[in-house]
Amino acid sequence: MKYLLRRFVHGLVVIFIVATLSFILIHLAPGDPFMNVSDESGLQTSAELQERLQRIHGLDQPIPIQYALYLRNLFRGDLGVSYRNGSQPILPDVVAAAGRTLLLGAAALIVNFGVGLFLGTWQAIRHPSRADRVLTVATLVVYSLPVFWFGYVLVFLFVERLGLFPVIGGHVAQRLVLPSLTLGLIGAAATARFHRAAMLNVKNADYVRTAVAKGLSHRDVVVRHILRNALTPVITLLGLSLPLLLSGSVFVERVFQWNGLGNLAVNAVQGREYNVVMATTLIVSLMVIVSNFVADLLHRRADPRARATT
Amino acid sequence: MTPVLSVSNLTTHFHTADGVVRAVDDVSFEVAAGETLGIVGESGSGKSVTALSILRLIEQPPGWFGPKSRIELDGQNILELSSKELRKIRGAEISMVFQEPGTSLNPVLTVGYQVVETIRAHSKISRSEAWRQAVQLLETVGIPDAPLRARDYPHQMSGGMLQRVMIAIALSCKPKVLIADEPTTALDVTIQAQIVDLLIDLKKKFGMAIVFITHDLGVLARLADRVAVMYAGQIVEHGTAAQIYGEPGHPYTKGLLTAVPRVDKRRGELAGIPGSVPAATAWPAGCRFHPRCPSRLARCDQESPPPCVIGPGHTADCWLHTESNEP
Amino acid sequence: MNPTAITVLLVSSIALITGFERVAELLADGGWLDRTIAVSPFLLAVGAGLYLYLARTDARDKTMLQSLFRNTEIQWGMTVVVGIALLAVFAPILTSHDPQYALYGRLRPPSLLHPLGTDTSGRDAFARLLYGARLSLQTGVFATFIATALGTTVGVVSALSGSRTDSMLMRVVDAGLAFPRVFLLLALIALLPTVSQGLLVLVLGLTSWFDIARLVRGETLSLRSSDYVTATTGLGLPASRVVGSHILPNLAGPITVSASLSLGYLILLESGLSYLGVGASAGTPSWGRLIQEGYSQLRNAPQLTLIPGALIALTVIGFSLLGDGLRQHLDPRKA
Repeated sequence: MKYLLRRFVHGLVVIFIVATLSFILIHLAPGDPFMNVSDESGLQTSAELQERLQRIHGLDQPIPIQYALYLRNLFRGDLGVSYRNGSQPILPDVVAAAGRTLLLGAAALIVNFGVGLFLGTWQAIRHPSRADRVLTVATLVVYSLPVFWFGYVLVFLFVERLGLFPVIGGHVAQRLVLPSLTLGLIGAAATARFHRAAMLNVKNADYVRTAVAKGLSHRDVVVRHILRNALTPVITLLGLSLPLLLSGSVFVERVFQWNGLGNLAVNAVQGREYNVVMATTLIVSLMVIVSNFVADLLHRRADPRARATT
Repeated sequence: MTPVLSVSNLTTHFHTADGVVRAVDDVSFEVAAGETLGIVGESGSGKSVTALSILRLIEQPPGWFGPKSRIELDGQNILELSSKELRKIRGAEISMVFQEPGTSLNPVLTVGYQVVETIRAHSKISRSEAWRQAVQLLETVGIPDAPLRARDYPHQMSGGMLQRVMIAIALSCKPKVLIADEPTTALDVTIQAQIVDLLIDLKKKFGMAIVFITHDLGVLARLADRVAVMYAGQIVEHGTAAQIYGEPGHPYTKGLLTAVPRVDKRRGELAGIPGSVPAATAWPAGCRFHPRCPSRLARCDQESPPPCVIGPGHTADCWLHTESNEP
Repeated sequence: MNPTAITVLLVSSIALITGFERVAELLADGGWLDRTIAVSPFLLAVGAGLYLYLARTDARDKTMLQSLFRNTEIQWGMTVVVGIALLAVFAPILTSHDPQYALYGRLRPPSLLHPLGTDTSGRDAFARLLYGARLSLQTGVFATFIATALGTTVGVVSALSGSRTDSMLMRVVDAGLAFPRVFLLLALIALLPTVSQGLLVLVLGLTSWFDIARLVRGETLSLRSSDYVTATTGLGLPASRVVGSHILPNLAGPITVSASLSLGYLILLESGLSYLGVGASAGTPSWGRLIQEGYSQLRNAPQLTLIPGALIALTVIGFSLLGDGLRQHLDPRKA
């Protein structure tokens, strides 16, 4: 219990640091966000309009006051309003985008670990053999592919040539197939490599020999002794997955026009919408902290040796 | 009296990228019920491979058993059993204790569970009954607070304790033979003595035969009824403990005994056996010990000596004894 | 039969045969750099041929270097990397088109004149691919250099300083490792007024040193507590000697492995950023930008998108094989 509390506080501190850092960085940024904003009629802004916008967003206040306001708004869950739309708060959009990214991430994770663990185990059982060596090279190749290129290859194959899985239109589940395959399969190659190494390590361990010498069935040896121990590092991998998934999803979302956090962030960077960039950074930090926390809990559950440290 | 375990012409080779490793070459010995056989030799002598071969714990490939090899338990040749039959023997009729207790137990399962696992693999009793038996076994091997300690994980126990757990696991199904592969080598000297005492005690309680493998002659002195001395994959001398320690026939055995430093003789250098064990891919021709033997004869590098009887149940493979006694 | 040498021979020969006129041009008109490039296929072809001829019978490894090259992964990794590097170097020989020249007619299909056709602005896609190789490789190399230098320094300093500095630095490293790389890059790029290739290299380098730092710190710590160091320090050797003569040389191996793997990954990242449109936008394109320009034409002219991507993949595979092979060579325990 004490451990959980400590981690929770730790997480809060990190968020605070990230928020402050973002604030500092944004205000160091050159360029005025309102240089290119135009009003409703589409005309270029006049100096007056720019000033008005600055006042609305509080950008004419001295920095310390802006910081205080920033923190207060953050606490209230208010991430500011869009520069472009003038009056719409950006929080709901960011949250909605985050939700869509999480959906993609979850689907990709299922593909990733489903295929990856299976392959890794299969390879380890067949080691050393021709099939194992071939797959080792294959996973290296897939792992090195650029994720966006792979996405286009899949689009080319399935959408253009075979006409399945429309990228635009259609049911969400349909639209989810190709992007999650793209993200998931490349991840699966990495997972397979990692898991194979873990399994081989364990396979040669002394306690596996003991288990065999005790006369346990092959199934019991593999499941209770080999897999059980090889899965502990996999849990760590699971915890690391979220940052990698998020990175990859930026590209995948672009390829498949999936309106998640990645797409939002890229558009914001190009459009110089600093507050959206800040908001996405914060949400991403939050996600990473939560996933680290969950991974840590899982790890402690799986490996009795990790419980010794509080 | 028929022996409970009989090993004849056991040959175990490994086919590696560096050549064929002839780890065990034509080894034969017998163990009677309730008897303790000690197998002693330096590292590289093939004693561990012999132990692993008995339970077929050798991975094939790269391992390979010679066609004449026979390992008989109550008349059945272990080398010819199906994997299902083999599993029934492992842990139940013949069980094994390994050298490094720290790494020989699964780190994510409690020690109690690992005993229970063995029991339930060989009999259909309930979990609670198996657990009760496991706790009792842990008590028998001398673990204090057994009901509590049974729920500990291996990393929470010391080496000596873990070795006791391994012995408990090994004896859980009342095996006929217990193979102990250097069980005390990784432990402190004081703990070593405790484990040997424990084994002597358990021998009386359970009555199993023990095959005790070690490089330490001192340990065997108290425990073994008979001793086999191994060198370079072969048994070079075989007899009762009294015979081996009292009237060693093979120059290698004599060398081993002389190498043990004596507390009562303060003067003199430490005696060793000159040279070192040759690589198992290229054993010397003739008698494999000849390059290091102080009593070498001319024919020793030509032909391999046959076993020569030098006493009742005492044989030594050495040309020095052929003039006096043909087998 | 060393595949690297074979590849060198093949590519150089092809360059010479197909680009004979351009070689002559470069020799006549170009500056010293152009002339070097012009002469190189000839020299390399001869060198590779000679090597293959001389090495054809020898089976034993005479030096450590030779045993290094016997490793299959290293061999193939080198082959791929060298092959692509040669394509980049020989760019002016392999094609006579200017990659920025936009008047060849839009979206022409592949032909003898334009092996990969032309893009949406009428530029020759093959030329853009070759010159793009230069840019992608350059970016990768310089970014890796920055990341490696920074990471090694932080790692060594962290391992050799007191525990306070060490844990502080490592917290920074952990944070850097935990945060999704691409989002970090996006946030930093958002702050740049304009994105030049140089700035991109800097940003990439500044965000990629974390894993090397952790690796170097780990290695330095274990070296520091090794018996050798304890003995020499006990003998009174000054710390700088110990570090210089023992720790740094032993770090060379893991650093090389790490750098090789980083190179591949950084080329991937750079291409990704360019694809998103946040990479450098002026001057010759890198492969990533080629994909960004081409993806709208996936149906009609798939080669505009798929070929550059395939080359990116190939380059990363090459560096991955190289790094993996080096790692195996240094630590044969890993299967």
